[in-house]
Amino acid sequence: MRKLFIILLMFGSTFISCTKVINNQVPQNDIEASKLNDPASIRAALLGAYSASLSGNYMGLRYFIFADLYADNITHVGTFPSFAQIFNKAITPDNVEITNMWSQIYSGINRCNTVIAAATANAATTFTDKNQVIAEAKVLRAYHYFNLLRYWGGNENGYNQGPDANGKSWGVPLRINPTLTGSDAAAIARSSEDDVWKQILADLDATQVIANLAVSNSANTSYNWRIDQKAANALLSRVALYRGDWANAEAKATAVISVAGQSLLSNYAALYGNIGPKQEVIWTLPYDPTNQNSVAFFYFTTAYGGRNEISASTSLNNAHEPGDLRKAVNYTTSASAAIAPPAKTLKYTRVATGDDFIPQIRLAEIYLIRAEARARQGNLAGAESDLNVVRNRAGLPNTLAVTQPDVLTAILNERRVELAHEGHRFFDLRRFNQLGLIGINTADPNSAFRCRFPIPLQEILNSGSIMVQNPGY
Amino acid sequence: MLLLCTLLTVSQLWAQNRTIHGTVLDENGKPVEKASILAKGTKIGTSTESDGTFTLSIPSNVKSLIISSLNFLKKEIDLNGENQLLIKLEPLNLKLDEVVVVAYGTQKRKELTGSVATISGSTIQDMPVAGPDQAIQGQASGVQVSSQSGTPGGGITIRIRGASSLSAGNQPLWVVDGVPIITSNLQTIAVGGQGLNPLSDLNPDDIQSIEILKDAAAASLYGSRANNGVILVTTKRGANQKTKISFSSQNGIQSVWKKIEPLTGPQYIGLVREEVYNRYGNLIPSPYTNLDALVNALFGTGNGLLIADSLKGISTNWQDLVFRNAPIQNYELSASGGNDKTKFYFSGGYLNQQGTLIGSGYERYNLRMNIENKVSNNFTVGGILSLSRSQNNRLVNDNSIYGVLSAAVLLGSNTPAYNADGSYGRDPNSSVDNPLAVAYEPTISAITNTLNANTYGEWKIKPWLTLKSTFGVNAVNLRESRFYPTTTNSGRGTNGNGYQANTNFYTLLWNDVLTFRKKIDKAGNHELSALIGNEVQTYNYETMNASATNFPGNTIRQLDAGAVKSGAGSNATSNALVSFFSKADYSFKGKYLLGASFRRDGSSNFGANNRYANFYSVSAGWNISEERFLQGNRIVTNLKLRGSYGTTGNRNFGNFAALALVSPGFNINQLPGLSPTQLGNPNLSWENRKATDLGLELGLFNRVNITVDVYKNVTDDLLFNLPLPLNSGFSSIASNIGQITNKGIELSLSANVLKINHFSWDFNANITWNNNRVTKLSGQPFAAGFASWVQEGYALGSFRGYVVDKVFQSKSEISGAPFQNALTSPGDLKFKSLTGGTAITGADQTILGNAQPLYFGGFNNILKYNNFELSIFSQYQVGNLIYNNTRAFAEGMNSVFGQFATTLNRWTPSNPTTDIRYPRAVYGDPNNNRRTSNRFLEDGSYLRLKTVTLAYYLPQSVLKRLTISSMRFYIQGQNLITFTKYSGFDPEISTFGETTTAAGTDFLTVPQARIVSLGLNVTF
Repeated sequence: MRKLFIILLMFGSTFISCTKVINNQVPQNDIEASKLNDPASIRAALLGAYSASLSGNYMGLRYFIFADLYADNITHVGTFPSFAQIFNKAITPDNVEITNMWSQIYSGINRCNTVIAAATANAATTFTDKNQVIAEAKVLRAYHYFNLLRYWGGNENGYNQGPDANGKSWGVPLRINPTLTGSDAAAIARSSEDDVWKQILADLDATQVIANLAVSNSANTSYNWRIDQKAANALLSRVALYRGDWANAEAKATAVISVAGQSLLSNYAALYGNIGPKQEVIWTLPYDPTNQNSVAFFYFTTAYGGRNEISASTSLNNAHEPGDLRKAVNYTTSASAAIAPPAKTLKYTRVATGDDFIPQIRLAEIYLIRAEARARQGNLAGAESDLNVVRNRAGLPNTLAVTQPDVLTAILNERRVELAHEGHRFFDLRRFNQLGLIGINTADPNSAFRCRFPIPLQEILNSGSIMVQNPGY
Repeated sequence: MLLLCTLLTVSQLWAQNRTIHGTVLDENGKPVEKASILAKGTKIGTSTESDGTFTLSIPSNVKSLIISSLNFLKKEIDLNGENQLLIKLEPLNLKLDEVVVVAYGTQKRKELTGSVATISGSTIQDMPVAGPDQAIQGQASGVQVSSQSGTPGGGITIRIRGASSLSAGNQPLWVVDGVPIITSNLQTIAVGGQGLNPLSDLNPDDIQSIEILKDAAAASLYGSRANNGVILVTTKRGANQKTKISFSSQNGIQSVWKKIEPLTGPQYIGLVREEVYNRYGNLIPSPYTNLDALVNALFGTGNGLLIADSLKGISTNWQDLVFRNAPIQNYELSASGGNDKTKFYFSGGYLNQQGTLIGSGYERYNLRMNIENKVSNNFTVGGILSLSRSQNNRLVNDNSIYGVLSAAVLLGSNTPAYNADGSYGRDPNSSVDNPLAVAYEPTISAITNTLNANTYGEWKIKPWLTLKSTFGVNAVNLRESRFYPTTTNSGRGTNGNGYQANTNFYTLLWNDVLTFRKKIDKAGNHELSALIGNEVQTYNYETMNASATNFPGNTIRQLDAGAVKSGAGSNATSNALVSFFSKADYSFKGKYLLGASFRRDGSSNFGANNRYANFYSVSAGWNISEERFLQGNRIVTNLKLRGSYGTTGNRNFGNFAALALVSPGFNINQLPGLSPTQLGNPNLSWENRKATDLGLELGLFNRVNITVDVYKNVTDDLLFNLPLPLNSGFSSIASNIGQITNKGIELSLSANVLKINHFSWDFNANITWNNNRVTKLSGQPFAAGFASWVQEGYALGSFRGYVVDKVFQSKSEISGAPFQNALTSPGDLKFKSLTGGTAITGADQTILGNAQPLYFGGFNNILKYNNFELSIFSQYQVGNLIYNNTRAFAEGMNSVFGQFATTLNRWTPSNPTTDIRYPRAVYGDPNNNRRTSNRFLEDGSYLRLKTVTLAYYLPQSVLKRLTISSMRFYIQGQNLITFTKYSGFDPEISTFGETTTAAGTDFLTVPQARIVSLGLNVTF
């Protein structure tokens, strides 16, 4: 009898004490989402939101490379079939690069939404920079939606041109609240292009948002990677330009140019390296050996330690006027063999440490924005003056263009060589309605649809019939 | 003796007696010594002398005698007035009376109501394989074993009665000496598709038996981990006998059994020129002026001709350079013995298996001590301690174009192995490195230290009641290091790239089991055995790693030398399982059997709503051969019918999949960032499988045993990362969706076919038909791997793609067909329009077949003559398809990669072939001839002469003189011949490791080795 008692005691005690073991298991590498509610965590979540852009699937490589690869600045010399599709302008909706890019941008948007919601709901008195945190997340969100529209939205004549020939307006799905539960993640339809522009402008509102940003972050950081008022206004001037809102584009560009302490670097080649010079680089992405990018790796040949996937195109090389100091930077020759192989770019060379900085907005672009905005409004003298600032820095004489079409063409060409390898060419051709230059015939329905990228196939499948694919795909 | 005389005298006083004289012989006519003779109904008996004779005086009312002897069937002889008897005994069919290890105990095979297969240790001994998982291939019905790749110490995929999970793991639970062990791949370094396999550190020579629990009655007692079946491994024990010392050695040579011929250097150059010419024809794009200039720009060195004069005529056969004949050695020394109080088994082993690819190899040391001690009549303690240390020198391979075999296949033959200055020859336009550089230059090693230990105490409270308490630990420590020097493409850019990691994964177990076994009625007709137990098991994982770049040369490879510390990290996780279980078995006269089991598991893995789950099983059996109408039947010597139904679970889906999580690591500018990474699902729960089994066991003539099982397993609530719209910010959410059904028939046969004089022939075989279907799937069908597809109504491992109609032979055919591409030309492939549209789009794809075999199995012939023994074991798999993605690259004829010699059959205007495998060569492949289609789908059926062993046992006369107990020499061949239509390196591959959804895919996977070895076993 006593033996039986001992046995039962053993069983009972082990079972009871052991149930605690199950309840004591907690994640050691993550925190539960419900705990993201104190100012320190929210600030860290804002940094996490910034880091979404660092990914090689987004601004860390693919987003800006594809704008030149799809157009005529970069050729595909490597082996990724997915890159070949983009180069050949024959993208299928199951292309993995497109899918990853779309996914990464929306991950960034969700992070911004999370920060905005958590910060808005937080009433702690220690959260003194609350409004600034919310403002930075909103500007970031605007940037993401702007980037989505540039590839996947708009019609064959450009951006903000109204409905296309069939009366359809191509936007992207709008998410402005964080996804917290499974039901939050349910499929939504694409918004119209107009609604997306409205959201972007709301997130770049002068009084509600930009006023809450720090005036300038330059003093605090070695890179200009946190969004300050100058960067937000610069982004706003670019947004206005894409929308065809010339007056606003000019006004915001002026606001940026008039900020003290800025100038174009006298040596174009010196712009590039590990850290973007603060006097010209308004907003950048920072990289270091613990947070590397693979831009140089994708350009460089295997002899230089890369994978030789892409090269600068001969078309880009030939687009430079004689004497253009940018030519050797945009299309390397044997003269710079010590640093880079031929037919590459001197903008991204730090393959050993993977820490080339990737410019988001530069002062030179602001000058070109204002030049174009002025030209479109008929202020040709003002346009030429801004254009010449950029040309002179590159060692070129003043422009010879006189008429409005000539000035605009000059600006388009200047943008091509000034902003080569920085993710502008395809979008510029769309805005200028010049896709014919890269073989997209906007009059032929079998070709015009290539003005947009396809929505990823799995997005269409997983959204049921709610989401509509871009025409032609 | 005195007692006997007294009894005889007494009985003589009471009744008339008779004296029986008899001789007892065995089935071969030899006398049986020490057989016991019992007069039925009395206590009168005797035993036979050395010549088999006996004399017994019994009362005349005794009707029959019962004769019994060890290793023979009990025989009852009717006397019928005879006084002189000649009795022949039949040998025991060891199969029926064997004791089988089952969940938390043992049971006689006769009493089993579940489906259990046994593989004895002697069957898997002396196989030139690293671990027991590979050794059981083809040995048991219902168990499909296949190597993922030929890498030494590599992963093995095991499916018991089909795959029943999408993503929660399909490998069975391995229990070694009562402790479920860690079998997962712990690597942190990716080397293509291969993984590390902890089971390869378990020495097969230490194994006494393996039991495979296949149905719910057998496996349900393991509850939430038993969906994929359970494999019980019992290691060797000592015995109450004089100490035996055994030594085994095996030495062999491994070679590659198949190579695929590549194009020669000149043929390769001709192909690339044809590719470019077919693409541009006479429309050479500027600024190139002629075809040669364009070819040079695309394929050449950039500033010279495609081939310099000094390099013309070079033809490097890379496969010849990277494959080698590799030695394998295996040594084992063991001692086993004991007395009536203590039993022990000690062993030490050493295995060295070099890989057939240069620069790879696996080396292992093992040590084991199993001890049991009878402290008193009622109390036994025991312990097992096993240590192993293995070093795996790894290569990148499988599913990676940066691997050794991949580089050997994908680098053109026109590149020299070494340049004139001694440096490695490279193709500057290809991302593929020199295969010799990839093999020799980097260091990638994995050192695994494994500890397996348990101790137990067993208390016999009453003869029918036992309490056993076990404490066990299995700890795996993995130390990985990798260094890419500047002589490789991967290390050149960063001036050397080093990485090191240290991982610990250990599990602790404690259980108490109370076992009851008693005949509950006086006559002994009703026997009840039951057990009740509780168990707690925790799993703990921790890892840390560091990396550095910028090294001062390639000699010092420790991270201290790297000037730039590019990374450091650590993480940890754990889970716990608490259980209560019980089982009861009832048998009536050994004829009618009933069984039931129940287990309740509590696991930390799941949502708060679903922490606990119950699993149960019921089963019944009927030993028809025990019925009177079959008693003593000479033809049907065994007949048993059994059936079972029960539930098991699967919880293998990450430790915190149900929680909403925010993770660190999203850093910028060396500042820490957080981001939401996981959506929570508080309702997340186990996968649940209902298994039904019906089995028939038939024994004929006491020489043939046939077992047939028919089963149906339905697994519900499949754990799966359900895809979400990406615009939500998340790509998926952990969910329970879907249902998978496996139905099948297993058949196994073992027979003593012939036994005359000194010659005997034994045959055993097994075959399984398994039908697998995803019977329900919430959400969309989805793609996996390269060409695989998961869709409701189809089997797992289905392939989906385009269907090739034919090869376009003329321009008119192209204009008459649905639009494919503006540059489609004669020689390109025509794809079938399944939708009837005017253009071929993504909708023109369909299910093309699947990677599951129609049937699989093995068969073994064992021939013995005098002291010679020949065993021939073959294994096969029929009806499965393989997607040969290697050919999509090595026969793609569209870019810079090296190509197979089969491309000489390609379509050209002078060779207008209709073979859809070889369209025209064209740079950039504008028609996308390489898209996923049946062009690369092949029949993967194979029959392999797996193991042939010819052994010679030294005769007793010689052994006596050498005072050796036994000695055996053998010569053995493994994977000697493979019959298959598959054109790749090996039909037994899985480039994605143990996946089920993307099974049957081959992408640059290392083939199996053919091994010829000599061996010796000596026992003193």
